Amino acid sequence: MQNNLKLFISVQIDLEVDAHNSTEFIGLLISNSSSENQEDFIDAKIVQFSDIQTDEFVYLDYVINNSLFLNDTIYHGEGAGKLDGKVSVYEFSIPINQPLTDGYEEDALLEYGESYSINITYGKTPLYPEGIIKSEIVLINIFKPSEEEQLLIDVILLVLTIIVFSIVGILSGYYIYKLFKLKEKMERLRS
Amino acid sequence: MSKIPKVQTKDQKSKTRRRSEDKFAYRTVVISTVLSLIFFVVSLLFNIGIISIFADINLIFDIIDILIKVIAILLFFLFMMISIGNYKEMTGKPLGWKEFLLLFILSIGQTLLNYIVFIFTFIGLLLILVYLYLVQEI
Repeated sequence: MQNNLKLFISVQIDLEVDAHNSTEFIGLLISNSSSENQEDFIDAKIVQFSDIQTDEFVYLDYVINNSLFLNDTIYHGEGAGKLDGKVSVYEFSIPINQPLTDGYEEDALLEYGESYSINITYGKTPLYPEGIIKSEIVLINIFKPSEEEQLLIDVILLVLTIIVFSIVGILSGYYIYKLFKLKEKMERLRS
Repeated sequence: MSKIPKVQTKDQKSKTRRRSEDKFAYRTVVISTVLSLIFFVVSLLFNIGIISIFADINLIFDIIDILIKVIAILLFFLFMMISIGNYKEMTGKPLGWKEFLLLFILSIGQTLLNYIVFIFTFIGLLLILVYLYLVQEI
């Protein structure tokens, strides 16, 4: 999901209750483009649990330089995590279309109309990148605000069209039923 | 011979003719309904985008795609109009403007996803309505 200022990402980890580690984390390694080359992932946003049972976590913002994770001077974005039964839920909000000032030069700049590869990583120990045990790369498209509105209009029109087709289908079924009744009536009158 | 049997024969002939006419009218209703439903299914497949074999290839295929969508809706409207008209005639009720309006809205409602299809279908539906009106007047 996104609005004009932020990209929202939610990640859910569904494991057996005992399988959750008390210091597990989810990290978003953000590429500066749609490229999936390791050296293009320059930014990391991490939600790190210090104790998952008591929902104690920290949000971390790193700049990645030659696979070294270095703390950002100014943290941007927000993150939170919560264990809910078997599912641990992580939520991130990342600024989009920000100027290259105020420390944003340490972040991947997400611009409208562009696509970015995001490596969603999971780990059990607070070591980066050594603690990463599983990762999955996804491609995220950042829509322009107008495109997002257009997308909403398209969805509404699609729903309306489906409703119209459904009404025609239902009315056609009723009409066919009436035709059968008419045939029965005609046969009764004939005999 | 008495005149009574002759009258009976005339009545029987009239009844037989009436039955034959009813049968013919009912067959017309059924055939029109089947045809309109076939075009409805074609419209459903193309207008919702379940089938998009002609879309986004080049201009000619785009035109073919639009033509299929428009013609399917117009023929659905025409055959359903004929079917409902004949059905109403068989049941002895006149075809009212409410049925016309409902069918018009349901036909135009199938075009909401493509404004070009909407424009051409709207024009086509108006032409069909004008044609039906003029045929009735004559």
